Amino acid sequence: MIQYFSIVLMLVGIYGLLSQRNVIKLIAALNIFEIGLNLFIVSIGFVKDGLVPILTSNNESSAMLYVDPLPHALVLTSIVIGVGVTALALALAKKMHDKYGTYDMDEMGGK
Amino acid sequence: MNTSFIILLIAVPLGAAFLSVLVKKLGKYFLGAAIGFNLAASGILAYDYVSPVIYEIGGFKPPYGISLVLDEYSLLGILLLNVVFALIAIMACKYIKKYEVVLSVALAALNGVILTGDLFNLFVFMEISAIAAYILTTMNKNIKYTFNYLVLGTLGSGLLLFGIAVIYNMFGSLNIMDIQNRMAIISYPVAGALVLPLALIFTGLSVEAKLLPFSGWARGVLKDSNSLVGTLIVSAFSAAVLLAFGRLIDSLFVMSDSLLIVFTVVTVGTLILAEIAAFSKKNLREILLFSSIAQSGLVVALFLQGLKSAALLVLINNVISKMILFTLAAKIGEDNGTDKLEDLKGVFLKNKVLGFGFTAAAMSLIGLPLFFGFIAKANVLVSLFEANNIWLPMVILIVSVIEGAYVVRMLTTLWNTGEEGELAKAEDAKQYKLTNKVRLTIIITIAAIAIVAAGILPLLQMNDWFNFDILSFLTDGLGGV
Amino acid sequence: MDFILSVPAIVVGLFAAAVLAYLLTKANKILGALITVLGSGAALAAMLMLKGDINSVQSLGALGFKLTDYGWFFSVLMLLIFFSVSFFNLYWMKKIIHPAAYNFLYLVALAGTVGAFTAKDFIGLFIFWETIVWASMFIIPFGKSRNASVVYYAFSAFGSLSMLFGILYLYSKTGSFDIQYVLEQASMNTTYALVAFITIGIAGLVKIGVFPFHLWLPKAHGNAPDTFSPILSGGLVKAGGFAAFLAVIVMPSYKVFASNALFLGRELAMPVPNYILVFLGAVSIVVGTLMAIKSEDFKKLIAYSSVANGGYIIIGIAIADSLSVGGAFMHMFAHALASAAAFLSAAAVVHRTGTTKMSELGGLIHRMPLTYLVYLIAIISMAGIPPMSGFISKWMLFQSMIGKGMVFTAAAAFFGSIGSFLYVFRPLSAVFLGQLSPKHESVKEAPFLMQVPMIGLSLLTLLFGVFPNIVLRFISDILKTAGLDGLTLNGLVISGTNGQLNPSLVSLIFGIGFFIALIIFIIHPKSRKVDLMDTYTASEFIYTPELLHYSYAFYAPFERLYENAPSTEKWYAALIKKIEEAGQLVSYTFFNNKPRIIVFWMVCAVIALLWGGSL
Repeated sequence: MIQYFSIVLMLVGIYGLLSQRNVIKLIAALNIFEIGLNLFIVSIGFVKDGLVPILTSNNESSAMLYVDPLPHALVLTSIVIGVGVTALALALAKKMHDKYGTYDMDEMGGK
Repeated sequence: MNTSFIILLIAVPLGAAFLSVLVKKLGKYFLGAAIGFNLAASGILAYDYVSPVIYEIGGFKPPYGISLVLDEYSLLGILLLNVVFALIAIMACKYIKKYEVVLSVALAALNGVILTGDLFNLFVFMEISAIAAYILTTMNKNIKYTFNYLVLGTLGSGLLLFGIAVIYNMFGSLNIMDIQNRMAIISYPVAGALVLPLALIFTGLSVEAKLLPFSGWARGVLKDSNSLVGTLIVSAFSAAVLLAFGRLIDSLFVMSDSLLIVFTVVTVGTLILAEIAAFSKKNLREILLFSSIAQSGLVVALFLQGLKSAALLVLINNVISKMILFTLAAKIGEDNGTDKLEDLKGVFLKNKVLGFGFTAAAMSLIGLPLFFGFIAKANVLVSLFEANNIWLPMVILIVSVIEGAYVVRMLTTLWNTGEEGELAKAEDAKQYKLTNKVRLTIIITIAAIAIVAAGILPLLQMNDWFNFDILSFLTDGLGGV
Repeated sequence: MDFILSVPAIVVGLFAAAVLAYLLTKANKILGALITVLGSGAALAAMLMLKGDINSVQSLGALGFKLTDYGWFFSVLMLLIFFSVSFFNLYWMKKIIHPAAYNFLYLVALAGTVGAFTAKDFIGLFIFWETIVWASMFIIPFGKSRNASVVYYAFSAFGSLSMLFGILYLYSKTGSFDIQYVLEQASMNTTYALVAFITIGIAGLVKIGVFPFHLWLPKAHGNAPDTFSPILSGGLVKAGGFAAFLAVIVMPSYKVFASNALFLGRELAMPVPNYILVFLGAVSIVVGTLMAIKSEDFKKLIAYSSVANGGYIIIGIAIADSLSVGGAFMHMFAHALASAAAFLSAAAVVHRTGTTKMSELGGLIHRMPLTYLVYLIAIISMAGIPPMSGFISKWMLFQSMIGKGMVFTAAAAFFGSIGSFLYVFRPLSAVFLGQLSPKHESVKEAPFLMQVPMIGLSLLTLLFGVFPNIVLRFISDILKTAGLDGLTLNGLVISGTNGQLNPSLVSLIFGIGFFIALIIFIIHPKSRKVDLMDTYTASEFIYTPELLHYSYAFYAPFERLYENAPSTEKWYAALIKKIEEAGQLVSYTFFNNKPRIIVFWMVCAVIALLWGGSL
């Protein structure tokens, strides 16, 4: 279920990219897309009735049913990269605003 | 062989980047040291190379940890990349200032892209190199193109990650070799189920590899770029991405016939449309950037046909010749304020040596005999014919007529003065500026001589130069020295 | 058989001479040009000495060389043309923008030609073939047009890449590049034979400039440096004849097609593919002739006449009997000599007057009588009038066409012959006859070293017109090794299908006629010479000599006849425009600064990939 939801989020992000001209809104759309993607990755680690993948005194055996911890680790990296890109994009947006006085890509002219 | 050089190829530039942040003044020395180290390390690795090595980071056995793979393929990749990167940095060193950190990161990431044996790691390196590229393109002073690049690049790498996640979901592994093994074992009709992830990965990589229609960013970013940024993107970045593309196609792309056809349509379409677009352009850098897009299309198309060696030859030819061509085009454009062909008549009259370099590279690009490009082209065609493929050679040959036409137009204009219908006269040449020539001249001369030598020697030395396995040549010919 | 005197040595030597010429030109331009003379001369001498070594095989690294008899014929012809023209280089160094590069490329092109004609393997043939292309592609823009070089390259590349396709296709089927072996194998399989015929044939058609690939000749020949036009027209286009000869006779595709009912037309005297070649040849005779009549420019005119003559050669090869192929060989020989001589005399005129526009010239017979004579002999040969060598070849071709009952082709060929009177007479009258323009009062005869090759070529034209059997005996041997019957030659007599020709006798009669005319001319009272500006119109004096020139709008009524005829030039121009527009469309559609549009295309592409992949 959550997988469908995350894919819908991604599509919303893509819709944003398709429909918006405003730089800030484009960045927001990219973020929505990334959040959807991250949720999707988290969701693939889910195992029904799985345990927390930590060896404790209660669950000592590796034969037990654990959820997959790897996607969570991956998502951390992905989030970090997303933050970096967003920061860069916002910096660019500010530069563009300084130069053109607008956030609207169409008003910036050029081919 | 000291395998730790493999990880150091990534770690040293990364370390240099951190140090440059800390001590800004020494940035260029750190960068220079990192580039020098990478050159030396890739040389040593090539010299000592015997058989494929898998370097396990942190000692985790694959498939659990991240592993770096050094085989003939990635060896060729790092040699090419580090040499090209070093040459570009030397030729365009006046732009390096303030961008040392980014360049160091880019160097680390590009080496990582070539070496990594792990899908997610590949995504990370791709993304880092892309971010480095975004920042580098801000040098062009036209931020909206950079923003465009950023949006498309991020979306592309998002799709790549999506595809990787689906692959992980299907096979439970991120190690490329491991996935390959599992694909062989799993009995359900893999090809059909793989359509989604493969299409996503293909799309994601295509954005950086500049395939149509995913490469809308390329024109804006490259058409005004300087000799550092533009050249890096059309040669070093594109080499690394295409090599990664090739590795994935080689190992993961288990394609049904229909998927192969769709992919081939995209790549061959890129080849045709981009060459046509290049033909219609009148500015040096625009011509070259479209030509670069077209060559990427050809390389990926050849990878898809399973012709790894031929694809690599085209790739090498394209990377080396584009390095020369784009550096000079950008240089001419910067120094004279325009790179419009008709404003640059006879620019090489006073710069003959650079002109020869440009000419050699251009002729290699279009694959004329006695230049390396011909060896590459002959190999491509022979291997396609041997695979009983008739229509792709036809397309390639027809397209190369168009390609030849615009390259010849470029060459004849840059060498000769005079309006149409008038005799070319040396006196008519305008005074063109070309600054900082010494370093440029030396490097371009060496590269041009290499292109010519690599075009003539095989004809004289090898009986089967038209059936030339670059990967085994690398180990037998160079590694065995 | 040592290496010093062998084909690879000639090729390597020419490459070395090219480098030497480059370096020496940097020091002294004349010295560099002298290297082109010495280099091509030495190569010619060496090649003549190699006549005894025909069929010897040598190799240079992985490249094999085999001196076939037809390869020797072509090589000698090329070397002769290059050698003759190289004398002109001495005078052209100041007029060329890159003299060092010119000398270098001149010799590289020559090395390429020798290599291409003597290559043992197809791939070697292709390498040298392309070497010629790129060498001349750099020389052409030194002349009047940069665009001409692009046109030249595009056409040449189309031809040579078509050949490459064929070569590699056959390689993948036969596993070899050896010309002899591959063609033998190809001749055993109709499909292979057809592929070889089409691909190599196209290379030949493009190179020789047969319709619809003729456009590059006027562009490139007309605009190339004056010293390189004779090379292109006299020498390099004949490589097309070589390729056509390989595809039709050496293979031999005419036998393959003749044994397959699929290719036999009901009413045709030959298989359909050959007939297509004949047809194209006939069309290019007509087109070349008409366009040559129309041309204002001296060099373009000769270029179009090369198109027409290329048509004869292709027809001769395509008919594929011994008389026609022999005629084609003779015609290549005769036309090479004649058109080189014609272009050289044009170059001599340019050297002295600085223009090729016919309306600016005139009356040069008084100033440059020798150049006039050279041009006269050349055009007589091109028009196929005895006693020049061009007559012999045309006679053989006509004999063959009539013998086969090819009425329409023969009509086209006759039209070309008659038409050639119209166009060759025009420069003769415009440039050399008539009144001398006041601008050119002080013009002198061409310098001595220019006269040497011009006289040499004229004498050869005359010699082989009077005693053609010197060449025809060798051509007959070529035909025999290629599997055709030899020519029937008795002493001085050539036998055709329905008649015999004794060129020496014909020449003798011509000579007597000429002598009688000369006597009449001498005893006839001299006419008074009228100066060009010695006129006035409606009590106005005219000061622009061009308008008074009597060749100004020479064939205006005739030109009006085909003013609105469809033109291949326009077709190609439209094609290029369409490609450019398509390119702009691609650039505008996929490469704009609107992320949403690119994202839209990306989404479309992903959907297409998913949809296509899951089919």
